[in-house]
Amino acid sequence: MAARRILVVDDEDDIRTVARVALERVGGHTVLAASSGAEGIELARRERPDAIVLDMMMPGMDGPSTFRALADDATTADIPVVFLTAKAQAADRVLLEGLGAAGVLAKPFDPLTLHTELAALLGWE
Amino acid sequence: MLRRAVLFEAILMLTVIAALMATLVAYRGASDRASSAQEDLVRLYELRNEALDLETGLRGYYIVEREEFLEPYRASIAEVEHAIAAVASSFPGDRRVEGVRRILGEWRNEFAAPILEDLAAGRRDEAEYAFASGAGKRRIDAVRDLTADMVDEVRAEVRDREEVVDGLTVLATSLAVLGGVAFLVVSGLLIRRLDRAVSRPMRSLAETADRLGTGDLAARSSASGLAEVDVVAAALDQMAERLETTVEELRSLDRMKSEFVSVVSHELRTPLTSIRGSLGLLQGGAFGDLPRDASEMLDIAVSNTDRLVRLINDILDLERIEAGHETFEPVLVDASELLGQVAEGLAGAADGAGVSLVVTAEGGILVCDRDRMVQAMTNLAGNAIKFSDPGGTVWLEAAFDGDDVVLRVRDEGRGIPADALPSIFERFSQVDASDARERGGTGLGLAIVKTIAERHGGRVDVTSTPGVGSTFSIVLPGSSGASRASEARQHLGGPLVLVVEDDVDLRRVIGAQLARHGLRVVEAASAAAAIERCAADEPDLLVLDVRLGEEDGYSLVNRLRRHDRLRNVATVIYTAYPLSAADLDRLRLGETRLVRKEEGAPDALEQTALELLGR
Repeated sequence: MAARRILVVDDEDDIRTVARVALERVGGHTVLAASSGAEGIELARRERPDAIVLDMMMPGMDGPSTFRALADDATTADIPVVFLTAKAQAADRVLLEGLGAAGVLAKPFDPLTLHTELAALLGWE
Repeated sequence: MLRRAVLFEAILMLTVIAALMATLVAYRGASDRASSAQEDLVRLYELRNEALDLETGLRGYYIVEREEFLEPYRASIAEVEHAIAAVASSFPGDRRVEGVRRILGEWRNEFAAPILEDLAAGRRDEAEYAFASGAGKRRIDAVRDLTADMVDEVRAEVRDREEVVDGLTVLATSLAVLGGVAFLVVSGLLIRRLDRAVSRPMRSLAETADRLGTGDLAARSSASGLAEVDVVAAALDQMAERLETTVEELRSLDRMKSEFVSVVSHELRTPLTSIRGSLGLLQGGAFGDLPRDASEMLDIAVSNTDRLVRLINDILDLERIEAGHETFEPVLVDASELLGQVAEGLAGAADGAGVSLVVTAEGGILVCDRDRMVQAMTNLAGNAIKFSDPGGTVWLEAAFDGDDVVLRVRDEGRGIPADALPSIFERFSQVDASDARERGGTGLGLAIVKTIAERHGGRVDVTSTPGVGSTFSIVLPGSSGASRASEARQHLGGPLVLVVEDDVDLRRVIGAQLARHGLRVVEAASAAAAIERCAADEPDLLVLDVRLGEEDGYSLVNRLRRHDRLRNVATVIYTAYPLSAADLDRLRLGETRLVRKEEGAPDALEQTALELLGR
């Protein structure tokens, strides 16, 4: 799989660390990390990653509001976003996909398969 | 008021009874008098007759002058005495009786005796003369007149009494009728009063109670006039208040519980993500290989973390299904397809355990929430696999028993002891919990199955023989009936073709063409109409134009893909526009062919349609 640049936005340090290792070490991608919605938007604008993994529940700007901001901004609107959530029921998935997300990943995730699941959701070869 | 009325009624009744009794007494009296009057008449007649007999007896002797003819005369003399005595007792102190006696005495002494003497002495002419003088006859007539007089008197008396009796009868009857009517009227009024005073409040109270009973806890009683009823009403209202409050409290408790569970699970999941993540990376060798003991330690950590995650998922699941927060979407599901999906999902686990999965399902459709039923059957089948020995078999069955659908999982595993069976579907029940420790289950799997079954209005069942195997069943009532009916309906009268085309002429032409082959055709001019038609009757073949107006063919196909059976319906794409392979892919449902709208196309369409329908 070709290496991609992935932005991970999550307020939990540990989850960012694990995700980074999972995607970089195991998946071979490059990971950018942001600890808040605002930081995530800034990084996205500046770095234009290939995909964004966005946590749902964050203090300040939560997942959906961050997503809306990204979608409203022309520079970031095209970047596919995958939500990371503890509630991954069918109904929630449908809701989030309805918002326009490219997919939904459940927490806790298996770090060894995170990169393949992401690739499947985003249609990466 | 009640008392007054009852008193009045009592008096009325007593009066009527008294009157009736008085009448009865009078009647008796009259009737007695009538019979004694009868007796009196008889005596009077007898007296008269005896008196007449005296005259005729004497005359007879006079004519024949034989001894034996004196007998009747002599007998009469005696009889007359008796007769007079009888009449005297009937008419004590009556001067006429004395008169009769006197006259008869005279007749005997002054008339009869001398004649007898004359006859005995042979002086017949003297006797004849005496008879001719009529002295005897005169006297007997006098007696007759007297008796007749008395007879008339008796008769008149009887008549008077009869009149009195008749009058009394009329009086009694009138009294009885009037009394009866008055009684009824007063009773009627009384009942009306009672009804208003008592029944109505009672009825309204009963109504309130009834409404409370059916769940309308806001119902309260209205005031009535009756103190006793008001007391009950007040008590009822109080009880209703308490009920309402309690229900509210329970509801809010339930809400709080749900929120709590939700929040807690989320809070638990977050650190678990980090734990699972870091452990997983270590275990997966992302940081290089570890010494074996360390690796073993890691395995323990990872597997237990996984178990925790599953537990949290199950708890949350159970909570949500039970509380009814999950939207249940019942759809038509093919039984064998459902079980097939379950078997597919467990193929890996079955292989790993050396267990074979066999699916036997009677062809049939049931109505259920697909995802939930898959979850339930997966839980059951997963258990079966876990508890089977290598080389064993697990059967997934679907059977239709009348109106019920029974989904079963049978295994040849170690079985469940009888004393554990009754509580096996409860959370963390004995058997399940030990399974949790040994084979990584959560202890909630069966509880989830039970909840899912019950949410469908069904139930779960288990039979087991230790050492032989177990059978777990989910019984869903009334599932198949409706679906079977619609299935039957569909296969009557040939396959159904749905033609979706916005050009009205073209649509008609296609329809007519296909109808010629005995196919049933329904038409739709838009995607929305097509969806409606599909909801009414599932087609066997879809003829689809891509350009449809507001919503195009791609959108329609997307929608149909969400439908259980229609996502596999055979389709003919009939379009004028060139379509790439990718486009065609987006329009694929079941077996899909493309026919371009051009010269000779109608026949090609017909051909393709028939081919797809297997004709």
